[in-house]
Amino acid sequence: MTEFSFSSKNKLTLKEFEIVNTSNYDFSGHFADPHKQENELKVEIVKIEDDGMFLEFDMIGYDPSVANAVRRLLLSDVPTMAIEKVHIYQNTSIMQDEVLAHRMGLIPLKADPRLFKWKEEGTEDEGTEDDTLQFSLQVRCKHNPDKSSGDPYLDNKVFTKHLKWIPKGSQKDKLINPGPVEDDILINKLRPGHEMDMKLFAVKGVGRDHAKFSPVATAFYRLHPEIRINRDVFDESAIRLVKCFTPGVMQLEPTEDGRKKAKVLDARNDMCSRNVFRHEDLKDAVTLEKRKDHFIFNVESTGAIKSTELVPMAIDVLLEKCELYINEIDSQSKE
Amino acid sequence: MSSLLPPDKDGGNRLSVLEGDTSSGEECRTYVFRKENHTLGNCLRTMLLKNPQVQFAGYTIPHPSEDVMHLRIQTVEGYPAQSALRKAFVDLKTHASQLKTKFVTAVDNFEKEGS
Repeated sequence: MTEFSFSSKNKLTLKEFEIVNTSNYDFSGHFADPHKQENELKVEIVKIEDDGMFLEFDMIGYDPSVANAVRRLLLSDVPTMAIEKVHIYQNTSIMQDEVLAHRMGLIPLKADPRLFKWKEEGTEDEGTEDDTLQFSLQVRCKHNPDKSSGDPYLDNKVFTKHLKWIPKGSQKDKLINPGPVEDDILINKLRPGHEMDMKLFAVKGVGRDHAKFSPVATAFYRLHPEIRINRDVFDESAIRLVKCFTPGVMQLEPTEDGRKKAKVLDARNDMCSRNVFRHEDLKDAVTLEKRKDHFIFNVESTGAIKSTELVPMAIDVLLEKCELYINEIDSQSKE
Repeated sequence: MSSLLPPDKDGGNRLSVLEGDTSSGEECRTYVFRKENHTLGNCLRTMLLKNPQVQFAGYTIPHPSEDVMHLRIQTVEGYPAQSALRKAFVDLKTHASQLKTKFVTAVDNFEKEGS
């Protein structure tokens, strides 16, 4: 009993020592799919969790260059706000100024970068209300006068909740709480007598410049796996075969004559460990493949913008680039 | 709302042609893109190869320390390489817009089902 597969060309095969059929046959003159029909290209949402911050979706039928472009754009070309300049007036804590400033830059901010302009180079740190967000951090650690409570110190741990937003100009009308995404990110630890007094300036930037500006915790894709059973496997071998794959991928089903047979339930969640090749007798029983045009994307946002909005923003960046170059070509050809 | 792309501090054109190519005719060109990499390069190459009038299309990043990408296009007689490039950009724009619409529709349908 073999399954009919439409085209072996669009699947890559995972063998014991190699992966075959990985190339895309993209050289000019080879038109396996000249301008794929629009209805063959699909986008399906699988999961949205965490109030829109985590997204799993599928891109089916697309070329890997486009899928990779979306992934790369999400990581390095979609802008975010992050702290860039730190004015330290007082820092008597153990942590060095530069290490502390570095940590402040990595704090994710809720501010929407689309409401801000790009800050010009060379302008002063204070900035204007259109391009800069100002915060202040002032903490001083003291002994706890209340001897009975467990904590001997007051304010010995500096969290992101100690950051105060200083609205500039008309920002207080336009922005609602552009502070850190989480209140309980630990910045520094102090002891009585230590003090921190800083002014922080956040600007708009892209991940290409510094990873702190990346809007995603990460964004990645994998190809949809496929498992084909070449010959039926029963009983003890079937149990071993099922164990080779991620739980939930294969299962045992009872046959008419009372034996148990291995069957593929859903290959989607398989982590492609190729464990089956460790068993000499089971190696030929299955063929492990991946669909070359089915991308399973995972996008996890840092918290500033929802993942469901980040993907269209990434495509918008690509559209803007195309627009920019079309205009350049047109203006250059007029000369 | 401000543009999504950061401003170009160096100014000037982001796209230029490699010297010495114009002597071979309109059909062969190597384009030099400043501040571009695989994100745009691979997509453009794919779009160019879908064009039946393009005989050769390839991109390279000469050195990873420099933010430069070269795109080589060779076309059939009578079809200028610049038209092929412009068409590739237009095709990429259409393709990306369609992808965006499909994605946004999919999200809307998913959220409607959930509620």
